[in-house]
Amino acid sequence: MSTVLAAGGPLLAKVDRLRVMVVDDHEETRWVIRTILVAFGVQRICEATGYAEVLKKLHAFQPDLMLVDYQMPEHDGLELTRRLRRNRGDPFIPIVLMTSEATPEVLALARDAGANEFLAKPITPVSLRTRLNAVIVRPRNYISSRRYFGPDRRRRSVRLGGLDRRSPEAGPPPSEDPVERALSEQRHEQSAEALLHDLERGTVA
Amino acid sequence: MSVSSIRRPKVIHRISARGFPYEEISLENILGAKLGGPIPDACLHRAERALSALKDQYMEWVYRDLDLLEETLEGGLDDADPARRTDIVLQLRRLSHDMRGQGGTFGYPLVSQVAGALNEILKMPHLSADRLVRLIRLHADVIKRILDNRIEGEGGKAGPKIIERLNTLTEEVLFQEEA
Repeated sequence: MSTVLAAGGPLLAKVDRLRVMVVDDHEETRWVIRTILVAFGVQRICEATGYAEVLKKLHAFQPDLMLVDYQMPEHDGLELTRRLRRNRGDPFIPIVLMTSEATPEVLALARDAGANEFLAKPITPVSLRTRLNAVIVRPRNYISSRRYFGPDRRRRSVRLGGLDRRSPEAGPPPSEDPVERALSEQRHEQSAEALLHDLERGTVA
Repeated sequence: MSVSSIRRPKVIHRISARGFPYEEISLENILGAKLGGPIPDACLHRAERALSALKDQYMEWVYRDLDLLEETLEGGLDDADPARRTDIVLQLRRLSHDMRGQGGTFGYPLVSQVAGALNEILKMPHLSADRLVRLIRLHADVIKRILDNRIEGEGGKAGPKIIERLNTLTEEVLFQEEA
């Protein structure tokens, strides 16, 4: 089990209580998420590459919430979510499903599988914090029936489809130095203009 | 205490409008109480600084993915062997998926857009290997140019035009007559 301690100490004493399990087969994505979580002050992070590893680590780690990738080999994030929701021993762990395919169909599937929240990739600190806070601040009831077991979405169907106001593709904010920012933007625009010019001349690929 | 340690939630038995019995399980806000409130704004700056420090690492990852993409293509994408073609396309989809997922995180949303477009092309089942290879190389080359020139953010006014032009070139390849 990989438990990470924040190098600079937690920002808030209480964030360090959070126990997060990150499930993604892609090592670099786990690294990015871990970096952001550690910066948030989360100290207990457990990583898993798939369903089999989740089963091995779940009860020992006792996560407060899980970040689960949608696209994984063998059991994908939906299947993993469904299986966890069916397991009456651990039915209430909030699950945030992550995907780069934020289509209405995927959102509906995520909801039906029992995911609490949905995080569109590329992941940014803003988008991740927004989704975590949604789970932390607004707990919801669960529905249990023969046909379904998961968070009760009846009162929040509108919000489900809404992604963060700030585009998750927006990336880190620009530099705070206005001169540096202006020069940087100018350089990016010149390079972009040159690329466009080459595309129009057909000299790319 | 973790959320999974909740053992006695309040359970109300209900009947749905269509006559299906179900249980409504009310949870206390255990997680909110445990943390004492949401993750504060101040954390964002720290996280953004931490990600900025990973930017060089990101460049290594994405150039490595581009190299892998080229190596995979050099392995030979051929219509004659459907099973092999499927394997190669799956590898390429995985690489484009990774590039799409990471670009925006590190300030390269254009990379995410182009890699996303490539990922969609790789889902087209009936595209000939010849056209597929041309489109893959076109998209990979655009991604490489964006990275080589460090075109961060949306790329200014040219950014949307690059995507538009790329789409036009893609359509030309997709809809051109077979020779």
